[in-house]
Amino acid sequence: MPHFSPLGKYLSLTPAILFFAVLALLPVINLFITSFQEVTWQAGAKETTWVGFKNFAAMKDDTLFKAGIVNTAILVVVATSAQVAIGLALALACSNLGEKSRPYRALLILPILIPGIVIGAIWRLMYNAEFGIFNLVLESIGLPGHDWLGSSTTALASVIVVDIWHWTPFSFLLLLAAVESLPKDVSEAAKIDGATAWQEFRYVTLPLLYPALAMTFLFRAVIAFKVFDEVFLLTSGGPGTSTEVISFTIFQRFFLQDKAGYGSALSVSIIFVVSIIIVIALNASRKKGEAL
Amino acid sequence: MSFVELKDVRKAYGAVEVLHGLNADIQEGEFIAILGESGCGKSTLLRTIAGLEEISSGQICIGGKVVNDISPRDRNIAMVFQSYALYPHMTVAQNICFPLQLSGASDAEQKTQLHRAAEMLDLTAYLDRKPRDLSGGQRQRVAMGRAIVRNPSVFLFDEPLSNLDAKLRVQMRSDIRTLQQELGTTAIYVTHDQIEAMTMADRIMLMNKGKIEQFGNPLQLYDQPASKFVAGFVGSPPINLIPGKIASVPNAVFECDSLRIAMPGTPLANGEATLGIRPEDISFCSDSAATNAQGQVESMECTGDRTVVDISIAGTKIKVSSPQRVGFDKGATVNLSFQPEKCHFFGPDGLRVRL
Repeated sequence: MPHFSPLGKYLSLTPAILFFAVLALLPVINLFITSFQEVTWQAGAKETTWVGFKNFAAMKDDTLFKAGIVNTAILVVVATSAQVAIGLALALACSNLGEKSRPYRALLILPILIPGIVIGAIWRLMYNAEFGIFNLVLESIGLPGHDWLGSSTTALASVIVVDIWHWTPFSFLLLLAAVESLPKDVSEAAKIDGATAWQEFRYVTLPLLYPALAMTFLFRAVIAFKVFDEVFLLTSGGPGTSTEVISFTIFQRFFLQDKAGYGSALSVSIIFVVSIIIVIALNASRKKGEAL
Repeated sequence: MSFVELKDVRKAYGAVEVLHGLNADIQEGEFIAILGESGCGKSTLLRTIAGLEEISSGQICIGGKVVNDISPRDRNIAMVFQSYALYPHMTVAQNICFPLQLSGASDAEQKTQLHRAAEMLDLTAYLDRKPRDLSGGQRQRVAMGRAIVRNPSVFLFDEPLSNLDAKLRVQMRSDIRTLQQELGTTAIYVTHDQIEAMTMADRIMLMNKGKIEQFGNPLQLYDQPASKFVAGFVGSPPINLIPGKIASVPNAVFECDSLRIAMPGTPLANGEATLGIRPEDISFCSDSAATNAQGQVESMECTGDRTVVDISIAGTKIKVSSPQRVGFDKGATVNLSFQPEKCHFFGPDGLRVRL
């Protein structure tokens, strides 16, 4: 391996730093500045006015944003929990099957490979009140059909189901790697020590998987926080505000209503909240990891 | 009465059989070492006794009960793994108490057992530590503690000392043996280290390629090896194996070039054979009448209490271990005397020639 001087080492990092600055840092800085401005368009040119914290103050009266916060929180907690739980169950089952699980593994990761637009189309058809598969099944057993996406009581749950279906493979893959790397002899020791399958899971497997579970939960929660395509394709936030989510609110305010300053303030707030959640989760995960 | 019994135990992975019909009786309270090279099936045998591997055919009995279809947790055994297999997220106390917790023992019972084991193993000061904060020897003792508190009918050890340094290994060898004797529990101990087996075991089961080569007490294996393999495996420096032939002229003799050893009895057949003699059973002599062979000195190693001399006789290199601090020049010719009663003869099939 070639040896670099300290200066050489820093220089070798420059392309990556520049890449990060141009593609990630500069847009965020620009967003941050815009969040304190009001942006208007005059004859194709941008005009900005410094408005201080006015955009941030306006958030408290934005009912769409409030609905978005609540719905996103519900979606993140419910969908992520379900994805981690189902992913863990599938990972344990596949790991138990060993080599025989190969075809199932391939099948199980299929949903994550399907483009969002196709998922939207498939599930809209399945949820269709007239000829969707769910209503056909209900009707075949003598129960009335239901407008899953059109009813405010079931719309969010229906979107959550799609999110779970779409993203469970992500949790499954991460957790399968963690389960497969668990020390086999510790599990054997538990069996000899008298543990039933449940006791082995409860007292040995699960605690050893805590760091991986926390990491998977965190990754999934961050991605779920940004959910957009599923909502856009299935319900567009409706009916009413029952499936309104933060990213969709930002999209509406920023692009559809042309409120770039206010949209930026919403984005900056969300980046701030997500960053805090990540820091807390990483700290908790590190402490759990250190306990091992 | 045999306590652990193996009856024609076979284990195959697909078409590959790794245990070829093993039979053995282990008495209650015995300390048995399963000795053999890597890949000979010794750990597989231990794991089948533990129930971690199913056998393909045959029977394993523990305490008079066939355990073939009984899960590991119901066999009333305890096992110490090579890696110790401690639960990394639990403290030393939690690790030791885990089997008791699973069996539903009361808190008071757990506490009593924990302190008994901790005192026995000198772990009292470390009960609140996690395994990662312990040295190898301490981890090994925690694994022992976890095994003890179950009060099992059989202890199984899978090379538990192989990750320790040489000094600690010697200490732990004696600690484990003492503990087993105090508890009086049957122990089956897998090792590839012949010194461990020789110093700890009541009997040694020496395995080779999935078969038991010899099962007997340590000195039997040393003094009366059943095969060339056993002779070569047990003893350090290793036994000298000199190829030659057995002839009857008129009494049976073993011949190899100018080397002639009179055999104390009559073998069943003449022909090709191998003479086995341990380095300490050959001595240097000046009396030509007592000389069995002459050889040329190749090199010498002095270990302090003994001198090991490499000698070439009739094209075969042998070792002679002398209690005297001898000094020879390289290439010097020396007279060697073989103790006739310490000579072992092996036939072309590798088995001991019965006399």
